[in-house]
Amino acid sequence: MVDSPSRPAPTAIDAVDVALDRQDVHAELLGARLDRAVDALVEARLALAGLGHDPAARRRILFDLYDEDILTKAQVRQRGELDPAEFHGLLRAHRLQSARTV
Amino acid sequence: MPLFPDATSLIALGAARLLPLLPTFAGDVYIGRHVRAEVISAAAAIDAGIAAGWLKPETVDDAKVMELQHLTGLDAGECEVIVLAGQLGGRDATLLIDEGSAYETVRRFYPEFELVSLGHALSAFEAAGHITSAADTIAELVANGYYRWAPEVWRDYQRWLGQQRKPGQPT
Repeated sequence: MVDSPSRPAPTAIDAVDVALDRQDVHAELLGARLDRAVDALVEARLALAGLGHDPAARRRILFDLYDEDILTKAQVRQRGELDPAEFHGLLRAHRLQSARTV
Repeated sequence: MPLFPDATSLIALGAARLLPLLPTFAGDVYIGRHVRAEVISAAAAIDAGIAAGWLKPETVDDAKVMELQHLTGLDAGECEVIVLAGQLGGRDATLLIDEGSAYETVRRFYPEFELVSLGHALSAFEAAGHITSAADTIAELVANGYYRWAPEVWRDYQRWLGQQRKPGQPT
């Protein structure tokens, strides 16, 4: 293949840039897939428990996923629409309720 | 050493009524507004620490906190701890973190900071005779829903405990 005169041959620096760009794109794609997987997991657990779209049930599942190290605190807060001030109190209440029902 | 705790560890220490012991583990302890907003359950103990002078409320550049949130995906409170440590503590800073993703982020990307968890603080309290057992205290916090070991935190704490034991000492 012959490079066109208007497009210079790639340099070593170009190759590094391309590799970094690919890593960024790869990470973004993985992140998007993880988001969809978590959405599907939450919906599946809600359906399994016959809870439909109950926001409190959704929150309980998000706390479970936090304690299972699948979601971070930031992700739980965002998905559960929780304020920073209420996160820890609700998480504790959920843990205590879970311990009682096990 | 200046200490920069996250909300998870402060809440656990508050629940165990051990927050006033924190200055025996470190020197000055710093807290920003994002972390303070999370520590509702120990608000009175936080206020008492500030009044006593060992706990110092500090302000960080929110633009830096937001930038770090974007980069790491961590919550504002954990990012504030990291920014505050860089701003005030430099290489002497010790970060007391028990939220798993924040702990791992600091361990991997901020090796210049000393990184400890609740277990380290409670072990220091035990060694100083302030409490009878770090393990019992953590077990009680877990039973009461205040604490859960993040795997990253547990792994490093167990490794540290192993290093503290003298050869021949029972495990």
